[in-house]
Amino acid sequence: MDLQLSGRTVLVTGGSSGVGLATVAALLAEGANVVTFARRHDVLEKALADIGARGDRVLAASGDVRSARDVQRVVDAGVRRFGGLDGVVNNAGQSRMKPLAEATLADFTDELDLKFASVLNTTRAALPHLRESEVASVVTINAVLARQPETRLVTSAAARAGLLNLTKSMSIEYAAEGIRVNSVCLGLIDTGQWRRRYEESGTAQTYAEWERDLAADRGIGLGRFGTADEVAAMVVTLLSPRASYVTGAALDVCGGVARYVA
Amino acid sequence: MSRRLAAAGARVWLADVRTDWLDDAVAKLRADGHDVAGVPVDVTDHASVRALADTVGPLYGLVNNAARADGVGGKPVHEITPEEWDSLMAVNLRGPWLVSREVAPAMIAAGRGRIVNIGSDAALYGSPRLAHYIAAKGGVAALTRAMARDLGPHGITVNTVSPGLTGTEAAAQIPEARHQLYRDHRALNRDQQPDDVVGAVAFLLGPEAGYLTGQQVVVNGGFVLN
Repeated sequence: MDLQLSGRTVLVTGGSSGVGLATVAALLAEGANVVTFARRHDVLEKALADIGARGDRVLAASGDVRSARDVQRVVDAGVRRFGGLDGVVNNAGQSRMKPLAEATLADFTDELDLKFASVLNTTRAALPHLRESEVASVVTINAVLARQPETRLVTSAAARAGLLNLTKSMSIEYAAEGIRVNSVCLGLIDTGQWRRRYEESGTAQTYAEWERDLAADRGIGLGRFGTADEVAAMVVTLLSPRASYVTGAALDVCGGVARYVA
Repeated sequence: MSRRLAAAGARVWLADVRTDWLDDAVAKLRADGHDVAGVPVDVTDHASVRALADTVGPLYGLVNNAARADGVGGKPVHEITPEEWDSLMAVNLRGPWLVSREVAPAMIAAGRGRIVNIGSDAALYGSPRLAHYIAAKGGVAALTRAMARDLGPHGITVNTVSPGLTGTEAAAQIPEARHQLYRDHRALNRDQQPDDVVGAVAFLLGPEAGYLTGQQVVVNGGFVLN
């Protein structure tokens, strides 16, 4: 099925690694133009070069997603370069590992600041252009954690719950203007960090055995970690006009680790 | 310069290391209906310059205007420190080369392009207590000649526009005696304004200057006569 993204332009934040980078690659494969940026342009440039994602359909700028002015400049540049903007992928912010007993108030507010600022800065800067698009779609990358907290990731879980709620609010607010807004909630996705943890563990198991045991321990139904490409496929689908009646949704890409019903 | 080029119908990218000034300038020009956008750049940093080239995409024209001019004068040649020398060269001479280096491939691919490097008549006059600045600006004029040779076969012209002592923020720090010297010895007896240089730059970027390359146009009211 043609996703009808050819010639469309999408802004992807955090495009230099993991899910962001995989999304950039997937969009380019669909014939879309991609605007992406990172604080470290050299890192972004190398990452894009490594996956062969260079050329006329990529604008790789430098900027900090927490800065409204940086984001505005990147959006301006993207619109100038490609003539408009049809989609935004809000994908910035890592999860901190911290149990509740050790988490300070600042740990919570820092995480919330980053997640809120990144979504608000990008979506607000993009909004005038999304209004001009007939196929406008915003996707916020979130985590199953937003609805199913874990003790190890308490600050991130709280911030992600806020992010999920904010994204839902945006979907309600912008629906009348034809702009769709959805969340993609990730389970355990291997973008290199699990491989590193495996190597650090010093276990005698093979990676496949170690992964299988860990997946069982975490309750991942499919028995393995997900890949960034598997997330990107869902993100690109939500950006596509093929998903024209999907808005306000939170779709899990989690291999069945989520235990909730709604 | 940006205002004049935008008013002439060009789509202008403003690039500056001072993002606060950049955003103000872009906002002002946009408020007046001009088609401009801003992009931050540190011309001393290769990754930043590559980001600039990525962001702006193929260009028709490039004006290498970024230079440090404030607070650089005052020391004779034997008192300028190696650190002062190197940091000024990194902006004022390496900068124009580095930006040109990253922008030129798209011009070559297009088979056309215009580059204007901003020099200084101080390099021709040999102003005292300004050796590193003068060496850099003299270097810019020489770089222009080299670039004109290398890029000419690809349909790209490269010229230098060298202003005299101009009434800018940076010039406010220059001693009054120097301003008076210029006043007394210019063929045209008034202070130079930033607007005085934009006509030459616009001309060199424009359709009537297609056969003009490798040259230095000195716009200084007739102080040093080139």
